[in-house]
Amino acid sequence: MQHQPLISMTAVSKAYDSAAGSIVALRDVSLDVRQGEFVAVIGKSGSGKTTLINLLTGIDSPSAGTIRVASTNVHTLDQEELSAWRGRSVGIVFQFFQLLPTLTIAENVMLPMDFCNSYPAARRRARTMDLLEQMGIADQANKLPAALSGGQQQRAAIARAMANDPPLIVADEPTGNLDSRTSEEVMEFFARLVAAGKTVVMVTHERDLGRYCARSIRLMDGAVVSQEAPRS
Amino acid sequence: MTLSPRWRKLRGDIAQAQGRLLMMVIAIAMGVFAVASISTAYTILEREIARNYLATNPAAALIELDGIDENVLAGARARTGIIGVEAAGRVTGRVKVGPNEWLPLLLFVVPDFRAAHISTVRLQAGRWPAEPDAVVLERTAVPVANTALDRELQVQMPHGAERALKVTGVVHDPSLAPAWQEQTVYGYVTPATLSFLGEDPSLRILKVTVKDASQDRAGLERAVIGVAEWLKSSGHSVAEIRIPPYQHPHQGMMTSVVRMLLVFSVLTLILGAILTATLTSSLLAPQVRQIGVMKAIGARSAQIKHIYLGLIAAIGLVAVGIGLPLGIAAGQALAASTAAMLNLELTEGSVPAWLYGGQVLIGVGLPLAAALLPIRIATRRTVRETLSDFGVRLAAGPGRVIRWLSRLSGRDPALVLAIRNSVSRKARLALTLGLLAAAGAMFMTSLNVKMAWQRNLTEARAERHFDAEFMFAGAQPQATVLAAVSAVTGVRRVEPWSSLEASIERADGLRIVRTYPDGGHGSLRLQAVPAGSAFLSPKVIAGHWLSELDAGGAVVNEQAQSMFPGLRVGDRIHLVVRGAGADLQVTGVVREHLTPATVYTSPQTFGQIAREPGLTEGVRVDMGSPDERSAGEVIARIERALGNSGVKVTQSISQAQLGQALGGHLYILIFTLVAMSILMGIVGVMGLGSAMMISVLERTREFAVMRVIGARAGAIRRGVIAEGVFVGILSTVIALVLSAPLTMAVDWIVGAASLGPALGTVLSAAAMPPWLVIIVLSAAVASAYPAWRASKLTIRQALSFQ
Repeated sequence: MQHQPLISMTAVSKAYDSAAGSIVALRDVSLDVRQGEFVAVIGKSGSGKTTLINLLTGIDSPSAGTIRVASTNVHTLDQEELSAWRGRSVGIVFQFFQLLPTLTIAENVMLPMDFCNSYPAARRRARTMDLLEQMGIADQANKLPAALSGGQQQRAAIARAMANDPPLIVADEPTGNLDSRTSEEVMEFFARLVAAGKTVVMVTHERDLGRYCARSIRLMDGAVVSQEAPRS
Repeated sequence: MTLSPRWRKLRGDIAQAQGRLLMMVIAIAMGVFAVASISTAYTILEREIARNYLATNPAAALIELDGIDENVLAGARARTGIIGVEAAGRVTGRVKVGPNEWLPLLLFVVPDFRAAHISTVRLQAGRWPAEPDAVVLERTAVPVANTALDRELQVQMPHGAERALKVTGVVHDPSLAPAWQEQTVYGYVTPATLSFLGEDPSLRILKVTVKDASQDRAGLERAVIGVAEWLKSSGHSVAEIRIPPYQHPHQGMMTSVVRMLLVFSVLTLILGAILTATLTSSLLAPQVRQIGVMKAIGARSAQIKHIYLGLIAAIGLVAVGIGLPLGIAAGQALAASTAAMLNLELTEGSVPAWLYGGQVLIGVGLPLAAALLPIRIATRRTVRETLSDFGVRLAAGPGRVIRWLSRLSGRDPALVLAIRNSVSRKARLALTLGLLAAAGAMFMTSLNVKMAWQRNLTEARAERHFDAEFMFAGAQPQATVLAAVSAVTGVRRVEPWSSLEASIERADGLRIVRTYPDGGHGSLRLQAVPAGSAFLSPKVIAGHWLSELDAGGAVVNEQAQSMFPGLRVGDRIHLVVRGAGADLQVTGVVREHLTPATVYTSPQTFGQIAREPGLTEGVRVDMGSPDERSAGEVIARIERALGNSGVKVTQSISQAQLGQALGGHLYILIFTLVAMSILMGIVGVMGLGSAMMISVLERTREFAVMRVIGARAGAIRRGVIAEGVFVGILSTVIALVLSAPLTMAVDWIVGAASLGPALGTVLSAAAMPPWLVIIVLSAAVASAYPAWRASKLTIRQALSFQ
């Protein structure tokens, strides 16, 4: 099945000013990601992986170039518009889970729905429990994040990313803090999401996990050096 | 109703930051308490002082004339604008309050107390005077006169012998300053008592009430002048017209002082609000990443802002709930004690509804306004900034200030780090310094004002080089008086000092003065100064002191100068003394402390004006600064000697008695200022403690690194405490600078309100050390807990801190 590009980055560059002078984190990157594709962004530390997904999610803005996600020109939005857009259109999964420590797992998952007012208040709890059920942690719904293992927290973070049913999931080293078995489970969740029509862009430095992806984009010194299908 | 997740998050945050939230509540509650108490006292006192005064149906004017009969009363009543007239009298004498001690006695004469309806007094105990030897006393005068109801009172009037009066009743007269403040005994008698005391029983004061007296001062003056002109045209001679300011003698002072306290209490509330901002920063500091995450999952800045503003509003409401009732109760107590001090009766202690509403508004609104900035800063940060926040960082290395400060701390790296850390967050440092410096400035100001007041008392004593003053019943031959007094054992030197009441001359020839019913407040006197006298040495601020070369010259003090708008040296002033005009050229202006408005002139000029050359109205005596008891004995001997020479003394007052009348007036103000500064200091130290907490939170990773490279817990504790103490010391320097304009402002308000042109500013470095000690200790205590927390963090905890 041939899909239209969901993400289109054209000639994107990003430079940071620092006391030591300007540092170029990303230079002249152009790439497309089709809807329903599972893409891994790989590279060494400092290669620009995190910068790339920060630009993709509007967490950071490009110094040059354009970024289009679905019908939205992300690079033109201001901070408030970006927040609203992210809430509806992107689910983000962090390496350190970033669950709010004072909220229960269920409340963490309901939070995006609350902010975006995306589902009627009465339906949010049921949707949350459904998502947690899919992630296999429904029995942990009323616990605080600190009471859960790293794997369980990351599953909860994925459930939160799916809360508003966004077409795009962006994950930054989602398995970086997990053991190998839990990492495999997380990747299987992502694969299932892709199978259900979601697009997943994942930053990782673990080349083994690339086998779950349709394509691996390799970065070096801020530039795309290869885009290839996994070896196995 | 179930809470949405965002509000549940807030609930969780509250549970985690109870200590800081409690501090916020306390800080705002203290501010609300301060404002509520002072505004309550202000509202009650302003209402009650007017209500008390107006309840007496005060005379709008007192016209002194040659005699009053039914024709005068009927004719005056018929004049335009006049709504009531009554005949009365007022005589001064003295009352014996101890074996050798006399105090001034002011007797108000009323023919029929039951029928009187102008300037009335309320009988509180006993009965109205019916017999010739009966007197009723104002309630504050009873202890001053050292007597009681149904006991006797030894009095002496200018023309009679010493007689005993029986105190038959006690009244409340809210139109007078309390007797203990003025060191004057107020009594109320009938004309029969005047005869009993050897005085002329004729009533010569026409009390007048005028329509809209408080609103239309010009109309009042027109109506009173109309009566006076009619009296003159009817063949009467009008000696003087007194138009008092139509308010309690101390109302102006009270209003100014309470308004000033109100400003400081609002300042305390503002400090509380600033502390809220600091604490809000501390609340948000560990939440920076959470805010970033919320924004990453779709929260808009406004939504996050509302969460925290909701929290601040709730804190404000709780604080108002605590501070407002306590403040109103304290305000009512303050109003009651001030009312007692001013001899007022509080008819009710209620406060208007707007005061409650206003307090809720500012108690919630000010903290919200103050917290808006840190909340805005925290919520406006981009997701990338928040997710990559690792605490304190310096953009481009230490700046010049930090490098300079670092050199001060020598080679101790812990101290260098402490100093660099304290100045690395400039906005927070500014807030903390603002809190502490404002409190310190207030504290130093209160000590400065206290010192200024004490200096005033000292300088007032230093200006007067005599120990007692005697005034006579009429002018006496100088030679007789001086011979009699100088022969008394204990008298070092005696000089003739005459003085007479004076008024500013008007084109219509009327003598109008603005004195209060007691005849003292607001008066102007003409005083003769003997040539070469060393008894008075005021500071000359313009022109020169009296000289024998200045025939017809006069020197005015600042209080008198203010009665003649634009008066300068070289100008002429036109006075009326004893019904006759006097034209004097001003040759100098002097600064005097705690003295009424006075025009000084030479004995020759005074003699010409008073038409009594070679005579004197009184004497001043140097007794070698004896103690109070010895002074009393010498005074008694002088009185006996004068009596033997046929000279009747109407007043004798020692400098000690004068000091008593003047001292103590401002101590309640100084106490309140110190109390206010302590409140502000508590808020300031809480601010410092919270700032240190934020600093420790932000630098958690830094502490871990320090521990990894070998720092001991003690070194970390020392660094954090040093940082707090450094901020405390820095704030003291700023407070010292701030205290200068603040002291000048308070001195101006106090001086203008109570003592005339200026209190005189004292900026003493002595005010700084006590505050420095307080603040260094408080800073060490406030930093101790954050320091302890910092030293207790394990390396693992610190390095994994998010």
